[in-house]
Amino acid sequence: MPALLEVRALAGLALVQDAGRAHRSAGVPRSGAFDRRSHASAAALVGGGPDQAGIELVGRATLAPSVRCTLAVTGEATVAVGGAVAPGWTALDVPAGVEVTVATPRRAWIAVAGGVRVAPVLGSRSTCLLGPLGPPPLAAGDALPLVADPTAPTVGDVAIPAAARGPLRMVPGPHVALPAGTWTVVEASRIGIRLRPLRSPVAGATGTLPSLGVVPGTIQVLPAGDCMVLGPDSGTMGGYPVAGVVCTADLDRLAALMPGDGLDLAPVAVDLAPVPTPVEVVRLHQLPG
Amino acid sequence: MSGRVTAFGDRALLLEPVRPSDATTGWCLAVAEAAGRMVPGASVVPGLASVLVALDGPGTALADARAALATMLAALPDAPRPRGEPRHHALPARYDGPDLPALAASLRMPADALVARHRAATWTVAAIGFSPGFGYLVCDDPTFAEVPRHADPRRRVAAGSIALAAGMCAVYPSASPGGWQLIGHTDVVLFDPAADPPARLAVGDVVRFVEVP
Repeated sequence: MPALLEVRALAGLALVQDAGRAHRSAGVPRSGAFDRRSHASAAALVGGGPDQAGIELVGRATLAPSVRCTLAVTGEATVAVGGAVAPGWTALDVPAGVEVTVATPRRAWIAVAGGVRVAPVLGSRSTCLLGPLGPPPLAAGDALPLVADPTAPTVGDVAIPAAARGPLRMVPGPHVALPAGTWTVVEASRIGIRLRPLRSPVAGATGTLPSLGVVPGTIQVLPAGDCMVLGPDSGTMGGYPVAGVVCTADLDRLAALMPGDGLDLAPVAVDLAPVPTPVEVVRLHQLPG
Repeated sequence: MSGRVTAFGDRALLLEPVRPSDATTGWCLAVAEAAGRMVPGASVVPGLASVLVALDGPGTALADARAALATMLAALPDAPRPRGEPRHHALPARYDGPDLPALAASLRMPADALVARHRAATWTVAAIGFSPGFGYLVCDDPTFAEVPRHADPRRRVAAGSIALAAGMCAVYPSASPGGWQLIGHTDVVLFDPAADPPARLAVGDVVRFVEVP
């Protein structure tokens, strides 16, 4: 009997995600976890690396492993194992058949030791909503293959990142300047985060340009004056004027944005862009029991 | 010929000629080729009037790539051409697209005259993007320059649809929303994740359309 992770119930969107794809020249989006630090942290907590696949969740999911497994949840989430509240951001020992319920008001990442072993497509197990590529979104009744023994002999702890505050930093340019002020999130998907200006729309940015290469974090100005901040499943080219690109160190914060959130953008010179810090495992220990 | 290098965030650089009129397909393809040699490991994405160099992995510092690319652009000859020998594709086409009659009428020509020009044109893949394997094809025939996009894009364009807009032609590799004018379709698979490479077309390739019954 292969080890499986069963999806017992799901309300929301649950996708298999790993570190993503590297086929940009063929027009293939990067995909991979929206918040790469939270995904890598969950994987590290169960003794793995960022290349192993886990689940990125919006909403609420109930999962049950067919065999005992080591599991971890990161992001902003409440977790219950067998009906008892369990902590996030730490490795959990889940007995065979016991239900794990994860609920998140934003996004959460779920890792199991050894990773979710769906078939890779173009070097990645990630679902890409544009295309689409990779496994379809999960549904109740699905059973995801795991490694034969999905327990981790030793597990690590990772530093829980402080709640991100302050404006989202971006390198401005090259086409148009954004006005200062607060933006409201009106749509949030892995394709992009759509922002509406609180006051006046962006002036002088109507129309389109000859299409150019873009990256996740690119801030496009749409004809109506909204901005679209591209997410990991966005296309590799776009034709809207670009007002800036979110700094790599702040990219993960896009994953937590939801409609109704307010957001400030702060331009920083490229030479002063903050340097992202790697995920560090601070301690190795054995799970009790 | 000079070009400029602009920061595109903290992990990518945008290369453009100083004079926008120099931003030809030849310039973009030649600069993309040279950029790939200058910054190994970078993802190089030629656009329609620019080239994006993305440092996807860690390693190369942005400032180092910027300096190397500025040096490369400064040494670029006038009207640079890509060095590589292009691959040639003959794509079988059925000219049965729903937009063909109205589009031909708006260009004040019979539908079969528009089809004949599309078949006669030699198309070059100027860029790949929008969706996996989607090629932006350009040609020298000015007939196609006046083709407008639909003001209201279709919610779903079928895979294999041959489409025109703004001087360009494309074949939709997969079903997607789309605003281009549909003039026909091909049965050739343009994107197959199991194939190596997954995209049939690559930038710089030459495409001709061959009408089949």
